[in-house]
Amino acid sequence: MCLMRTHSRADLTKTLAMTTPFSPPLYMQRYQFVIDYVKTYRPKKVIDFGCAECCLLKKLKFHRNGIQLLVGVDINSVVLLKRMHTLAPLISDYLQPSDGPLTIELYQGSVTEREPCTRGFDLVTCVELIEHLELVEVASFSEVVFGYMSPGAVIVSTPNAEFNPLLPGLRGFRNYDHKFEWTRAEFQTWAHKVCRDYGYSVHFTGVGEAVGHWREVGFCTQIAVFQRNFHDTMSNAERLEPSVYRLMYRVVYPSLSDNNIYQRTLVNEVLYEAQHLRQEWLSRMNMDSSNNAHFCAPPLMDVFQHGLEGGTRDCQPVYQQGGTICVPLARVWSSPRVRALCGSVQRLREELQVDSRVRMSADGTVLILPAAADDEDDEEVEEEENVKAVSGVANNVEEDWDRELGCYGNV
Amino acid sequence: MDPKRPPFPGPPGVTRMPWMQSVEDQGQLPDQPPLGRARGLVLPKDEPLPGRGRALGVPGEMPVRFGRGITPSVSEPLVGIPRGVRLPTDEGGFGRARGFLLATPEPSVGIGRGAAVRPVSTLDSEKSDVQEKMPELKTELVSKIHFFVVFEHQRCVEAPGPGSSLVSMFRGLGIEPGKTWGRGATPVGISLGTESDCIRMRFAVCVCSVLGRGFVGVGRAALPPMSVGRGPIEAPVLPGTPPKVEVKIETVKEPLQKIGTKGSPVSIGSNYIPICCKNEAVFQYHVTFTPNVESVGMRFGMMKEHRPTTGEVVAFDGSILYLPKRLEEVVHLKAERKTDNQEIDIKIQLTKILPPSSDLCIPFYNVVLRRVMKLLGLKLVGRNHYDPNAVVILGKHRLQVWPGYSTSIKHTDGGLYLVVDVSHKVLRNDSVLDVMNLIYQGSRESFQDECTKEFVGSIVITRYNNRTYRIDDIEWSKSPKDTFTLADGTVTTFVDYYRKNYGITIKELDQPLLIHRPKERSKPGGKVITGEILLLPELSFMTGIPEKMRKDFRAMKDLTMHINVGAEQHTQSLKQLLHNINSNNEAVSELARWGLSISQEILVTQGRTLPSETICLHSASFVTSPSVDWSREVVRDPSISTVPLNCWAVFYPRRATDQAEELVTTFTRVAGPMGIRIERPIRVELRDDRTETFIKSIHSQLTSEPRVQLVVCIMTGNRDDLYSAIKKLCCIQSPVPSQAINVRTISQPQKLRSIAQKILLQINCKLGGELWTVNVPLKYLMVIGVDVHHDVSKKSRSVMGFVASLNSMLTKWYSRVTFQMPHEEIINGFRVCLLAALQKYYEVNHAFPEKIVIYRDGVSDGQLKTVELYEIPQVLKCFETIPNYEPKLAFIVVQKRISTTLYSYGSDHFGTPSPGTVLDHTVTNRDWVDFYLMAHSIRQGCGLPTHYIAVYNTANLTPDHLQRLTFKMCHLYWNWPGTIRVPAPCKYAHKLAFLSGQYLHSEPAIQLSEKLFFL
Repeated sequence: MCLMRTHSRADLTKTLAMTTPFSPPLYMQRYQFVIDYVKTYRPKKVIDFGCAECCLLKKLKFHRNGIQLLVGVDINSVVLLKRMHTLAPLISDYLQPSDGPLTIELYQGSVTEREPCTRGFDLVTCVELIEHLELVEVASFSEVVFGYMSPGAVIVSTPNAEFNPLLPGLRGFRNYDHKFEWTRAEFQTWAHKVCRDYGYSVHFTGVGEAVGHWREVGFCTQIAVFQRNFHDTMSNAERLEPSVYRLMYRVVYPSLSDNNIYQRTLVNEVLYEAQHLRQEWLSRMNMDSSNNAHFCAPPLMDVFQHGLEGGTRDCQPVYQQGGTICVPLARVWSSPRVRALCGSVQRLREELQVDSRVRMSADGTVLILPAAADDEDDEEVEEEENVKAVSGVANNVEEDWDRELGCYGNV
Repeated sequence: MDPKRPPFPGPPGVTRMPWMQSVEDQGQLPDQPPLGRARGLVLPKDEPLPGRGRALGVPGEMPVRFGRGITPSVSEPLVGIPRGVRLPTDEGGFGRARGFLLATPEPSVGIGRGAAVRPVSTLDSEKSDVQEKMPELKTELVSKIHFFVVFEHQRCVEAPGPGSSLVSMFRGLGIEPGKTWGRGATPVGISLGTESDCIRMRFAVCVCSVLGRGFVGVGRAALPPMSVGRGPIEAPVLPGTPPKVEVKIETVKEPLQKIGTKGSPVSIGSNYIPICCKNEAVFQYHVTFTPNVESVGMRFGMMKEHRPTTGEVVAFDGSILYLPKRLEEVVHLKAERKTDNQEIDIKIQLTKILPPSSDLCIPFYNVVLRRVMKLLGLKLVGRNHYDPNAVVILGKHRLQVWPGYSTSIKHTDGGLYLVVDVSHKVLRNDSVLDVMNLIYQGSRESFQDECTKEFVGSIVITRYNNRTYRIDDIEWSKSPKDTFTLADGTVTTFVDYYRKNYGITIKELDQPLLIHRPKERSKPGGKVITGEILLLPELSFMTGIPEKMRKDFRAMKDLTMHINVGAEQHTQSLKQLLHNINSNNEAVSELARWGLSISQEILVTQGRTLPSETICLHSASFVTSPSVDWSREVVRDPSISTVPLNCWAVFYPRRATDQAEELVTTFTRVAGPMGIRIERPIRVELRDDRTETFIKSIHSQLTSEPRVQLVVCIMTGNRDDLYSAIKKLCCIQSPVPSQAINVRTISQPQKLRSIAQKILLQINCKLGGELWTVNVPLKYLMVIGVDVHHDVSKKSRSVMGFVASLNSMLTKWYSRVTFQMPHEEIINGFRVCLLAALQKYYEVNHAFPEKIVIYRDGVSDGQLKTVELYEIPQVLKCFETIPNYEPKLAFIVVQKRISTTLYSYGSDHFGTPSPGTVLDHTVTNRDWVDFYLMAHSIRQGCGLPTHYIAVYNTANLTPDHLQRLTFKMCHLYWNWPGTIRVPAPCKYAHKLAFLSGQYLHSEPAIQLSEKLFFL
């Protein structure tokens, strides 16, 4: 049963955009409406029905505002397959993992089917979807979405038929696949019934307003925002029902909430900082020693003084102890990046003490790094041990290419 | 063009309507080879002029005409007359044109037939050496009894030149322009009767005049069925199908003679994976929209609606359609234009049947390949795909190494291959803004300069998409608070833009903006992309190895450990990719759409290891060892010739006194065995190591003692400014060989001896001494090396280094440098250098060289044609300036940055091939005589051979000669007692260009031109 036709939202809206004077285009305004909602109410789990080319999902992935699970459902698997890769993490998501987790899933399925994994969401969006359903199907849609899934909130948008006369050149529905286009009253009647049946409250709004006295026809796109009136009491046990959707794509974004990634990121920052301090210290020592050789010795205090310059927090100097260089944890802690990653020195210490890549003193106040850089020759030429035996005899058969060429030359 | 070839089986279409063949009338003007194409846009019926066209030839003198000839009687030779289409000859050069929309609804004249009789390859990636071809053409034509003028309503592949129509057409498919060489105009001649011969025709002429058609009708009626000839065939005659209208024959040419025999056979693997084509053919159609639909997007849309007819597997650019299946000869479809409800007639006309490995198919195969890589979860960065799940993080350096692949499908001598190379992308955790902050902390005064130095020329990747941009400049006067105009005309600030579109809050409001200037190109829709792209430093991540890190040997070691993979690892990751592709159902079916399947196995074939060479010193000579290293011998036995060091000066800062003293002592100790006589130097101790101190002392020393042969400077630390100043002084102002030594290199007593030996050898070269040679059995030979150095940051000038041998031993070298502005033909400077070198050769040998071999580095595949068509004729012209002088010339392009890797193969195990390994078939280029040679020995990483292409060879050097001469030349780089990757003159030219471009910024003094002062 094909409930949602394969016509992509973008296609429809593009046709409309050409003929209507909305700026930004109406479809953008609809997406923006959802984005603004997410920004205000900060849902964690969001599902978009009829996601088609995944434009809204792609936008929400940028405007996350705390979304942790983003699901798209469409009946057309071809379009999902084609577009799913646009939802993959960007290179930068790996370079700078975000703080919060994010998983994106795409399913092929119908909004009139009961799919256990769609339950327990904070927000369901159905942007320009219901008008593609037959009226009978709208009833089962209501039952599935509000009754079965019962998310915290639902955003439903659909064309406002009263606006149609204002659309130049429009005959009939705005798209041939539309099964109906509701007036405001019709839409509201449906919405209020849903509220009564499933315990939701609703308010109406829209995007795309006409100017002047035409204003009274209402928005071009009417939107109903439903809020659930009761607390979610669903137990996980109910999820054991068999799944009916087909999972097309799933991706987990790298984030600092993943302990491995967090640990790795933190240790890398710490090591980078410590190396940096060590290098600084070494080069200063080097300079001093080379100056020592030829000029009057600089004050030994120089190193120490330099440490003082940085203010009280940095007063602990880097120092050498035998074959190691000791970098006080407090110095590393002063790096803003390290600070941003873990809230306290205490936590930093704990994190580092369990990591094998970091060597710390017993009391956990000092990082220990090797002093001597294993000095290797950086020359292009390396001495290679004699592996070859050169035969002194040249097995030189006299060659004369000119003669050979002469032969060919006359051909 | 072999007359003995069997006649072309008459295609049904032809027999049905025996019909006029044609030749462009250029055939009669053989002295003006027009290489042109015309792109006929919609032609008004009464106007026989193609929309535009250009022709090469003698502009203005004689219009190049293309016409259609009608033969009223069989005996009258007649070539293209009445409806000659005149091309505006406003411009020499390669014209372009394409037969485009033929606005004729009448099926009797048109593509189908034009195509049907066209017995030749349209795409003809053979060298289109027109000059060479023309004489041949002439005789052919004259000997013919009749010629008929064909017109093809056929879109033409372009003449050589960037931006070919084919290329641009595939842009729509999102692929990179590949190179497609077409032949502008090669006429087709078809004769009646016995002799069936044809000359390739590659021209499109659109003639729609009623008159013309009428004539055709007459001609047709008058003529008996004719046979159509063709040359050597690679005919896609499909098994099981009746002889079809043969629309296309791939490359009519003899396979090039490029296989050598010398040396010992050896099993060689390479990173080429055979691709099997299951389809019998790919069909090319021409699609016409009537009335015309301008918008390419709309054309796409209309064609999309007809997927039931075309099938799901299509490659369409707006007018040319490729399908793996055969439709009717002509298919008419209807569509409705949404904007005005106009009914559009779509005509799909079969034009060509291509073998599935045709070059025309390669671009969309590569599109398919990209999709496959995406299906495997790999990320596209730049042109390569990387695996986010296998990232190596180098936290210490705040960077990540992404392993990945560069892949492409190529058609080589051996057939269709997937070429896979392992690639690594270095990405940094730092944004440009982070680095700017660091720079600011370091130096506030020169902040802007430092930033320009650091960033301009580097590649960044943006945070909000995966695009990479090259930074061309920094806009200091703008900030994210400034506004820009979006495509729809709205004006917004950068801050708002990123907040609205990507939910990104810009933290630093006072950062400058980065400028990227895209190369001008036009999209399929005709939109030309120009202007600048402004990027925010905060949102741009750095990529590539940081400059600071490059100089840090240890850090680089951390990095190269991951990047330099050995043959074993290399083949492992290739196999992994092949496994991933073949075990991914979606990937396999994606490829199968075009009938492709990729083998699981890496190509293994037979190569050769060239014979070892004999190195000759002054009196000693020896055959090289398998590791091709003779560092011991060169310090043990005397060099060929040495220059006694009678008067030389050492400059060093006070704190390096001990090291300087040690070095001088060691010099005297090691000089003896090498045959070098060395006196005590003038020692100049400097009170500090400031640049001015060095320069002043050197200058005054050189002035007071003009006999100084050599200046040695001992420097503390890596100091580019000091180095540059010393070199400027000693190479330009007061020309004298100079040697700069970092005090660190001579600070380790246990290594000092061997270091001193190496330095001394180098000094000997710089003074004009000769170290060793190999025997090259060619007399009066001159070998020339050319390389170009491009300064990344100072994008203004490039430097060409030119080095030519002066004696038969190839131990005396003459060197020159020329600076050139961007886009300036390299050849201008080249001529000056070449003439000077010839002159010098004459002075030395009292004769001019008889054979000249030029090794030209720094030419990409796409520029080969330019080299052939512009540089070589200029070189030949150069010889003309000398009376009665016609040397033989071999011009060999040297390519180092290639994706081909060679492995040794034995007992199911891949390793690194031994030095001297050559591969001259299978993976080689179908259009040229070329070979891959790995001359150097590999310590680390993979066997990267160098690709040599003999673009020109009147010296008639055989493949064996070319290969062995090249290998010999790889032995002669005196800074390295072993073989190197490229011929020594190339390396010398590189060194010279680098020194001049990087440090001297000017031509070195002519007095030094006979010494290897730049080593």
